[in-house]
Amino acid sequence: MSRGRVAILTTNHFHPAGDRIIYGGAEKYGVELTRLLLSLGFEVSWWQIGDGWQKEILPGVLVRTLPAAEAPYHTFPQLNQAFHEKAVDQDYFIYFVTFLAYPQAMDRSIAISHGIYWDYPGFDATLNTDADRAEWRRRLWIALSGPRRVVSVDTATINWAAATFPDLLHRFDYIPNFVDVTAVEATEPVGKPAGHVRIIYPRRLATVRGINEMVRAAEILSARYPSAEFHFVGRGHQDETEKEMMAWVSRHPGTYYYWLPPEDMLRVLKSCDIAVIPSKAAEGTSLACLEAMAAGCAVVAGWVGGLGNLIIDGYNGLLIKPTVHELVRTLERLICDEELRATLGHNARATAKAFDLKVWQHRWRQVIDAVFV
Amino acid sequence: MRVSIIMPNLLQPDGSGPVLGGIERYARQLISLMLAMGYEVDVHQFASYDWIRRVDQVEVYGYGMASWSQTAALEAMHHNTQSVLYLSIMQVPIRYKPRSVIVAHGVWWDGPQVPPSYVQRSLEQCRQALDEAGHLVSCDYNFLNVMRALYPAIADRITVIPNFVDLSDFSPPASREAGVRVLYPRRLDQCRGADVFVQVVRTLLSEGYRDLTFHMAVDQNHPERNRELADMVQDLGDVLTVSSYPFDAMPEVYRSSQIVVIPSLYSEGTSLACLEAMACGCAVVATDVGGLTNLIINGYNGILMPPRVPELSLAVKYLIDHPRDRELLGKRAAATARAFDVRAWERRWSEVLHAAYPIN
Repeated sequence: MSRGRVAILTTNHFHPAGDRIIYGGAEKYGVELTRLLLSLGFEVSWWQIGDGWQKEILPGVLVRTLPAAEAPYHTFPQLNQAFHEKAVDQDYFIYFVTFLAYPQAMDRSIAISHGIYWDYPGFDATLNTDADRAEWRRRLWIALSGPRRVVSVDTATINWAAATFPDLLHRFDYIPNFVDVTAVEATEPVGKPAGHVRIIYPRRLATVRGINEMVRAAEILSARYPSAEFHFVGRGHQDETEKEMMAWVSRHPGTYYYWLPPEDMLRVLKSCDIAVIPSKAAEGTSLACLEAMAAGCAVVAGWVGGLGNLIIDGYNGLLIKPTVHELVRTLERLICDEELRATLGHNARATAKAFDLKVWQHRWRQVIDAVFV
Repeated sequence: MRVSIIMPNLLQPDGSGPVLGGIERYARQLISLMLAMGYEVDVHQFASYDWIRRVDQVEVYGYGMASWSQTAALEAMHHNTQSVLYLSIMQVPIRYKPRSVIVAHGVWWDGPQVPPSYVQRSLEQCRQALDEAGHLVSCDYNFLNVMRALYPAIADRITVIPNFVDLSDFSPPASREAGVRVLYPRRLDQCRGADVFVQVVRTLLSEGYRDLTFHMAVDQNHPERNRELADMVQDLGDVLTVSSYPFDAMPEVYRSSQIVVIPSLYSEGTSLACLEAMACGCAVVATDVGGLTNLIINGYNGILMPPRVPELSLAVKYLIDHPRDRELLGKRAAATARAFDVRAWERRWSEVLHAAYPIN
């Protein structure tokens, strides 16, 4: 018997034209949330920006599209309105990104905050005047205050709200992201030449993820340490970026660029000694970081957003200012210190169990049971 | 090279004795590091009249001007000093000396029911500190996150150096006693949640929890707060006891407790008390406020909860009912605390000091 219909509104689970598939953290989150809702007896449908196509996110679960021409002040009022008109036959609602709950949030609804996304200098240039900035804040406040609960993947967002919107504090539930520890444990690593130290950047090629800093650090270190391998594994948002990256690795021995489906990605991760998550901004409790931890990598992460919820500097990884200088210094230390790598990796693997998918499912279930009644 | 430390209060305003608090302990630890590195150090602080005291090898100057205007007192301090290190962000109007280091002890304005003007003023004070000082040292990643979310272009001036624990003083006992004692080891400030702790105790008692004791190790900086607390808990008799301890007695207080609650409501960094409880192998229940989120990984080395009585009570009950998990969390807390060893803190600070105040 169905517990009711849940409609989930997102911007782009699939590319708006429906053709480019980028499987990142948000997409994984969406799939696991859908699975959980189905297992709890809900019917699920997804809605996103697009021009009329339909796709399945999981067998039998459709992603439908809605028009959204404009995104003023980093919100999607047209999408929000179209959703509420189309989804009148639905019982419960999830705004997959917080700002989608502007201007209206349905009564029985939950919003998800994937982390602070406005903490890079370029963001300021998208809001040119004090009035624009005030309007953006006003809309964000409305979006955060409408839904019954806001699930936050990290404590940075909750503490930011406490420090800027004190009245919103008790709306948040902290549910950090997950890693399927059983799946990672069961994965066989790919091979690795003896004596090599394998370093992976397991992210998309995005500036806020620190791709340029990492490329420069790899340039310096690959010249210094012939036994170090630098793997850049993730797609770019444009073909151009991917082409540029391929050209770059062709000029630098010991560097590799490719992307893989999730299950193969895990096999590579398990073979790595060091994983680098050099995010500069817009970061929650990164799924890539958690996977690398579960795989037993020594993790080097930027001290940004939710990464400080996962890594305790010097215990289960190293947390640094994500600059080229610090990356080179820290990676050099790890390349040369096998024992430190092993200790950090061991502790990372132990810590990752606290973020197991089952824990995440249990925490989400508590929120769903409280709101979807 | 001489570096002058400017801070609100290392000693009491009349210069009579030390102030007991986290920032003051921080100052003492930093001063002894700076002396060991070869710096000459003096301290300039607010006071009720002009005085000079000597603490160990360090002159402490009290500025009586602060009774009339703290801004004027800071101005006077600037006249009397060359290179300056500010031990906290000042909450009064000030122009910081350029090329100084300022220490930020976490977000302090995140309390409930604070007026928007207070939030705005505090944010502006932080922005100005970032803008004017060469360098800002934050004791947690949370302050950095909040600053980056507000002032991304200048947030890179922040270096995070998490707080410290001296592992030679704070270590787990050889064996823990069988019973359960739940400890609150904080000052009696509203932000530290002493009354939340008392409510948690009452919740547990009302639900029939027996065979355990509760203890509050508190300060006596404000005697009226101790009297209020005594009134609040007088009906609880021997179940909840309250004491004050000299600092060197604290390790034993932690060692004879199984569960430690850090129920901070706001204004929290990487709490020294939390780190000390962890180092002593206690099972810690902390709130997801400020820098506590950088110390405790929920379900791994402690329990992290929102700052509310029902959730905190649930966590304490869980630890009482599950002795094995209690022990495991405590063991892992002691292991993670090693990453916050005061020696690591000193190494990080000496890098910052060398860069900011070069010794020729």
